[in-house]
Amino acid sequence: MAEKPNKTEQGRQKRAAEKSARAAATKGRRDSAAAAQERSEQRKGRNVDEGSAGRDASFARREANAGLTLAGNSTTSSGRGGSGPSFADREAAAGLYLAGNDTTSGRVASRATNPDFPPVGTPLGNDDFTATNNVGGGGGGGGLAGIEIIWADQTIEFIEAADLTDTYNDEAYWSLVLTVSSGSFDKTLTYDATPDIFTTTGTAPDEVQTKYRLRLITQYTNGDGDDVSTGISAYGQYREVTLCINGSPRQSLIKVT
Amino acid sequence: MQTATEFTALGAGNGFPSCLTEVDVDDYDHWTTLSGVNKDSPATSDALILESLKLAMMIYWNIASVNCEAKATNLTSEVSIDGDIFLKEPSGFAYKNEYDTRDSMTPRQRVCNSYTTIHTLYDNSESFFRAVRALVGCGVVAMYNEGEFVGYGSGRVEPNDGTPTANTASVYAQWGGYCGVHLGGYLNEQGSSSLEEAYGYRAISSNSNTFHFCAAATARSSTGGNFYYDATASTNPLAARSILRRTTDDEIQADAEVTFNSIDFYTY
Repeated sequence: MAEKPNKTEQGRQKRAAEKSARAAATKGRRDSAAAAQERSEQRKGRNVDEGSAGRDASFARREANAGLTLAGNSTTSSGRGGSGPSFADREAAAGLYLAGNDTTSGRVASRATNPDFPPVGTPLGNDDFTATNNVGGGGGGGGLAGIEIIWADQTIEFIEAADLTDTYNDEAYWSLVLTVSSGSFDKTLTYDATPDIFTTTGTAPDEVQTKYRLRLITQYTNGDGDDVSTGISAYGQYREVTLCINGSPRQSLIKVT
Repeated sequence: MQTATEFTALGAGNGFPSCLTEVDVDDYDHWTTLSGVNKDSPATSDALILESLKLAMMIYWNIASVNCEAKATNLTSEVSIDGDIFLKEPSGFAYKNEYDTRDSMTPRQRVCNSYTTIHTLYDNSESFFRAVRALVGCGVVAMYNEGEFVGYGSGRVEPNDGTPTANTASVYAQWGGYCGVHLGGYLNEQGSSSLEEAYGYRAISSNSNTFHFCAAATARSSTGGNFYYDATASTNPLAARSILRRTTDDEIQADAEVTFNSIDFYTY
């Protein structure tokens, strides 16, 4: 007949069993961490080794996942606006392209490993950029290569990017002009170089709005004191609304996406 | 003339901070849009709707005050209003002392305005039933006649109600008898045998704009016993009076009288 363990022996056996269980759990966590480290190193190696080709592939994959890849719309080669400059052009314009600093191949990796310069980007994961040469284009995101207007009667009109600056000839300002008739847009679209947002006839309080301008190219004074005309990130979807300005109605467009 | 700070408001994208109440005005005895489309002349147009939008926005954003007179007396004591009644912040009912300490509600403040009128009780120290009140309101509605949108108008008038709703202007006095005058967008006649009543359409001009309203004037007129009410009511001029007289010698016992004069708007 086996001896029944006393209470001291029971406690010892219980503690031993608990220790064994803790050891097994610790080993499991170490194995998971090692696997994660291995996967991380694989990702790093892909970024560094693949260079710009890997970057493009990564973009294509992300954008395909977001449903943005369309036939003839290679966002990584010409910008999402369709007519914009390449990444290299943009970065050269922004002073980012230096000898030995191929930002298109190494920036993601270097940012990722520098805690003082964490990665930033659009919701799609692309690096942000300033589209200094991209007249009328978007600054990343949006996805439209042009302007879509939802009129007050809920009909929709799309203006292709190329049409926005088709007649532009280096004027300081350039706007899409919408004509107002009987208090709403009559869907007549023209372009002009007038900087005013609104055009009215009559005098307050009997002013009547006749035009609204959506600015595409604007002018500002840079740090050197020079007047510079540059495109505004205008691509996207707009909705016709009535603004209140000093208690008077003004037909306008508001960007919704 | 009040001067306001210039501002821009997106609001609900319709020219106002929120969607407007839609009213089937064909249910009422009298109605008019601010541009003059009314029950007697209901044909509207894009131009008239646009004009009513402009005027409705002017009322909502820029109305500053109503000039009026109200007096209630028993010939030995008197409560009265005489002058400009301003739309004030915060909006709502206020007794005279409280009202006097409030600041005017500027157009910019109306971006977040959810209650569109203020009325004042200048003095009820004699009794709750011996008082004068005035209202200036910035409420506007979208009007539909037989299902067709006909334009924008002022709010509803409650002709014999001492607590007016969101119409543009009301003046009320009570001492012995009672009387009131009102400007709004739509109303039902009272049809009371104890009231002298007058209803009609009034065009009120201000700052080169012409606003069209329903006008109502009512005054207590019942008779009986040792006293009777000598009542008058008219929409042009917009005034009402109810005099309580002794039957035996017509001596005045109490007198309530109101008159609407003008509307004033902010300028920039």
